[in-house]
Amino acid sequence: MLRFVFKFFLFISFCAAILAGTWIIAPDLYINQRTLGFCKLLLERFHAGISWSEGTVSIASESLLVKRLDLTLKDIRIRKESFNAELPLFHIQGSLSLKLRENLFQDIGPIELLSKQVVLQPAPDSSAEDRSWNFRPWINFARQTIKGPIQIQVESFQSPSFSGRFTIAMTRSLSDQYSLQVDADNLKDLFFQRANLKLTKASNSESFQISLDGFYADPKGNNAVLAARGRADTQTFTGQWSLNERSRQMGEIQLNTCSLQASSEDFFSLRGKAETQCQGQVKDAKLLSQLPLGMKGISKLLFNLNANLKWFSEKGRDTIVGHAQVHLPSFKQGPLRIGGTADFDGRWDGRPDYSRFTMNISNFIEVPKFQELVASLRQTTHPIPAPFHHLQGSLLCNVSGEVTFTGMRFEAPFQCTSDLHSKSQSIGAFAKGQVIGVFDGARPKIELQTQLTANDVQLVFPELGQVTQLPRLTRDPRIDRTANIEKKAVSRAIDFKYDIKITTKASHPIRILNVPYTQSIVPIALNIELVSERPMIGTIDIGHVDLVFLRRKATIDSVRLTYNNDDVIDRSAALKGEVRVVNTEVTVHVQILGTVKKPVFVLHSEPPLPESELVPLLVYGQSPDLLTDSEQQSSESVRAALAERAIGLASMYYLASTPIESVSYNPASRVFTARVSISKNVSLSLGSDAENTNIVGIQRRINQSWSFETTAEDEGIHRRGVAMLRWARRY
Amino acid sequence: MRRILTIFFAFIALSTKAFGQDLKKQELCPHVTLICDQTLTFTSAELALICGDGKTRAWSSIPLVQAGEFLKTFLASRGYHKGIAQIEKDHLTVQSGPISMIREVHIAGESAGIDASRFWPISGVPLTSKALDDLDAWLKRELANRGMPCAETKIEADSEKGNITISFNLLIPYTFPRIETEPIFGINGEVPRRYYSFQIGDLYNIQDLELSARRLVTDDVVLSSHFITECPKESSEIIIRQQMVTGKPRLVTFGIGFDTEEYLITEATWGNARFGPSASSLKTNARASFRKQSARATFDWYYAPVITRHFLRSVLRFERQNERRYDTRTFWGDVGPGWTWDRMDHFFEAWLGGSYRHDETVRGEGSATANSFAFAADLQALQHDFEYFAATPKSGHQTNFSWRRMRKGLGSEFSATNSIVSGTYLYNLFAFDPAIWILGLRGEAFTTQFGDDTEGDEVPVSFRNFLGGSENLRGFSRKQVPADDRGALTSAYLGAEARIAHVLPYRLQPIVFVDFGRIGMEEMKLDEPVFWSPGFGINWQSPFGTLRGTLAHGFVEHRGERDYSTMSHAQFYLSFGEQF
Repeated sequence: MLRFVFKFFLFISFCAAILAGTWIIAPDLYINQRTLGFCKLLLERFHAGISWSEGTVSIASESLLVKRLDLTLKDIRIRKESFNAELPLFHIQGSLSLKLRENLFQDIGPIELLSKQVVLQPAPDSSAEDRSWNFRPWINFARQTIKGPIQIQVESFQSPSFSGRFTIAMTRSLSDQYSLQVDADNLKDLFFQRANLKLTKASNSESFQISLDGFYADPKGNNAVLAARGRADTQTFTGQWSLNERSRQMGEIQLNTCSLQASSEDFFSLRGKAETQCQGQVKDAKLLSQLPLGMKGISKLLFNLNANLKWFSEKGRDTIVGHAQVHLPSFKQGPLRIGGTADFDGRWDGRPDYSRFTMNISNFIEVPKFQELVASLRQTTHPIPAPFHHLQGSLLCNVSGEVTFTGMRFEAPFQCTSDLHSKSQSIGAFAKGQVIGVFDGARPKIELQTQLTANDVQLVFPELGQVTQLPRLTRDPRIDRTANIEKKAVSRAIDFKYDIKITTKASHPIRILNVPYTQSIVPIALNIELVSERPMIGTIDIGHVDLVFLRRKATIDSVRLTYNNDDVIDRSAALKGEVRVVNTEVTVHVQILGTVKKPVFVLHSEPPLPESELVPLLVYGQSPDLLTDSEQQSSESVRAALAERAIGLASMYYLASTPIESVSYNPASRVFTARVSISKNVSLSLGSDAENTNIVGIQRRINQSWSFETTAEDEGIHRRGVAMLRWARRY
Repeated sequence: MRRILTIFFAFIALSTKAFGQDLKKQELCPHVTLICDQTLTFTSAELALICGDGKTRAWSSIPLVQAGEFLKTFLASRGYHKGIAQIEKDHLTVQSGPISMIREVHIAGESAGIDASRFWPISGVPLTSKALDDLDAWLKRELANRGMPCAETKIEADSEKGNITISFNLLIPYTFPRIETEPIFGINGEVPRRYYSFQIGDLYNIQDLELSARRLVTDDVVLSSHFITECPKESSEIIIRQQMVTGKPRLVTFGIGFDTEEYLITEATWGNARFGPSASSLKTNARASFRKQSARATFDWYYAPVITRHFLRSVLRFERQNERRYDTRTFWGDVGPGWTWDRMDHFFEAWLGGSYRHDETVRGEGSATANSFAFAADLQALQHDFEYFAATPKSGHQTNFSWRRMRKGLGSEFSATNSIVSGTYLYNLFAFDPAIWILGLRGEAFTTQFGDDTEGDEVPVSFRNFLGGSENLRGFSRKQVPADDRGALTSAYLGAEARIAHVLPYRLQPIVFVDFGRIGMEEMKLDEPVFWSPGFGINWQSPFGTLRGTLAHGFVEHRGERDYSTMSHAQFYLSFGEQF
């Protein structure tokens, strides 16, 4: 038995000696084309997922125990569950040492790798911890073995975190200084499209210099340049960074010479923390210039940034959490005084829609002197309009509270107060609400939600003189309607929505002065809601107004306009109100119902009288018995027009407040025409001025009894024309 | 063709405006300048909003941007929709841009039989709200004339192209329901139905309603009347209510006036159109002029216990005529039943009765005195269009027939039969609305036939006819034809006229016409000469009525040797109230 064992070991020793001898003398007996082909066959047999089309391998002796390997593989295809790659060329040279106590790989290099496409996918069952690779042994290995240059080109690299094209080059100088340079281009899902990373390490130092330059640009004109310089080892980084970003909305944001201290459990592991402080500024902020303020004053905003961040990988996503503070020192620019602080807390989960921030903000924008704002906007396209441009006082808006960011959405609360006044006008109002912004689409979406309370508002109408015809202040919607809708749709750079509730206190309605045909102040109480893309809803209440004009006296007791689209067919406000016309013995009440576009007037009186007697009282202030024929005819026309809803609100206003000369009504076209006396010599035509030419004969009344008329008279079978001055009396 | 004509008249209308003129600078206030192709006027209210009102401090100055927006809006209301505002050194300059003219109007979808190009006044005029309002009113009227009073119109305009697009909604035709009327004090509430030009169940037509209301007012039954049409919300029928102002029943008037043929006139009238519950009518008047003095009392007695359109008419009349050819005094007394009715878009009136007449001829041919009793019949047929547009005639026709027969010994001192037929036909060429070309024909045939037992000189001159005057042969003097003072026993007249309306400014309407007439000195026979008179004239639709001036020349065409040269001359007429 012992002999057998001896013989066996002798045989083994002999074989080993032969193998060692042949390896020493002729290593190509083991590593040659056939063994390469055999390896390829084995890999295919065991479905290793690696194949190549052609390969060459050679090995040569450098010494008895050190052999020089030269391997070239072409058209390599790697198909693994989490890794796919197409490598047109892989070339590596290295020295293999059979010396004891030495690594098998004595030195490696040069290495050349050309890759068309590399795809990294997380394995379905990979946990977060699996992705925290320990690079340290590999770095040590590379540091000890790689001597020659390395050149790696990846035309297309795709991973869950980012993708792009890379060129990686590593050299080792004679002074034993390592230099690694990564040039990346066409990057996606990273902050930058192009990046250049350079790491330089001296052989006698554990730390290395890092230099990172990144650049981002998109077709919309947004771009950013990031530069970071510093010293790092495998766990810490100390240095400086700067960012210069230009965006279409925000203008130019500069963060200069920011200090940064970062530490990692491992430099290459996705877990660490950082602290940074810097000063920044926003220049040429276009968002500000697009606001109605549009003033040239705000060209630059200075701020300070302090941030403490941590990052790690969780549930397959790279996550950053931390706190940042932006402080805007108070400053006055043009008519505005601006200042405040914003504290950010939150987490960034790799994608905006997974991320969430909260911001405690305490900012303010103040217009200490309203007239300065008026002056600064006077030459712009958005001046403060009349009658507000004569007001004095101040405006103050505080944006304070917690702003919530969810993905690319934020909500910011605000409160604004106004204290504006002049000799005849005042605007004292308080607004509270929030601004919601969403930036995840092609157009930024801004939504304003606010509750505005008018505490003390008094406005004045212009002195329009003898109003023979109120000017039209809006364009006829029938003209160019389609073109205007398209124009509005195109012109909106920002998708702006609003929901504004406006209310007045019952004791402090809005007061309008200088309304035509009344010496009274017209009180208006509002409770309305203005919502974009929806007609206004709510109520407008006009209070007690005395209309005094010449010898007539009328009183608006109340008028309520209710805007509620569910109830109204013609999309105008529902009306409910009452006007009183006081005569000597009879008070005529005009109930106003229907809608603004089609008002309905219902008459009743104290003491009660039939409608046929009320209309003459309303129009002429007299009972029908005392009216002339033409006045009675006019009264009848008013009745007909009232019944057919042909009298608009404006016409009724004049009818109730001014003496009527005559009225005609054409039921076919529903055109109501009234002549009212404005003054002794001036008459006003309301409605269409069309002549009713179809009446046989034309009569022009001179006074109550006398008229001039031309008639065509029948005389037998002939018609004769006669012009006659006629006195008439009916009894 | 109609469209081309529309464009043609639009061009004429445009030619009266500032078209293609050089741009003008207009300083509205020291800091606002308007550059426009014409000088525009702004109301004081508009100027207050552009330049500041100067009285209220808050509105004493208007920021230039705001003033520019106001001005552009005011320009849009005048048809300038492409205004551009420029501000330089505290000065606002607004360029009005070109005025937008309405070039084409078309109806999208169901047209309801409406041809919008007929409404020509908006073609070629500035695209303004008023033009659109006018179009909308016209469309509503057209729809209401086609039985669709509840239809909705939608109008959209493109200022760039000048196109107007119309669309309709709720094109549902309705028929006349039973109409609710208000009670009229003292008379039967059914009386207004006597004046309706339609029957219940007929297709709704707003023109019929207006005509019915106008008849009621013209007959003095009420002072004013309107029909109110309510569109159905749930039911399938419209509701029509008639409102009226009755006024007091008795009317007395006194007037002094001017008639182009009778010169100075004085007139006194008294009437009561609401006698009894059936609203019988008594009207009297007395009139005096240089040529004619008359007094007349007419009583239309609706004696039936139910409201019908049947009445008994009684007329008493005295008249003195002091014409160049004769001087007569006549007294009439007529009595007989009459009927009115409306059928097939026409109004008919018939009267049958007896007529007593006493004639005295102070000067002129014929019997010095004559008493006669005649069996009389009058018939009138009037198309509703003709009746509706009586003041501004443009279409329709009417026919009148009058017949009198007297027998010696039967209350008459002579035997004679007098027949008169007359008619008018108007045609609105190309159916423009308002009408532009109006063609008219009118004619009259007159004859008096004597009985075998009657000589010509037994019959008073008033049973003979004379032509000439503004009523027929406008190239001849009043009652100039025939030259013989006896007058004609037979006459025929035919006149043709063409009028151009609504094209010239100041409501002037040129007319051309030609009249033809023939007379016969014997019964039922027309003599050889043809009297004709071509002429022209002008209508002025003045604020006080139509003033018409015509100038024509009378000609006599004949083969005989008789000399008519003294009759041929130019004749000018000026008249009030007459149309055609």
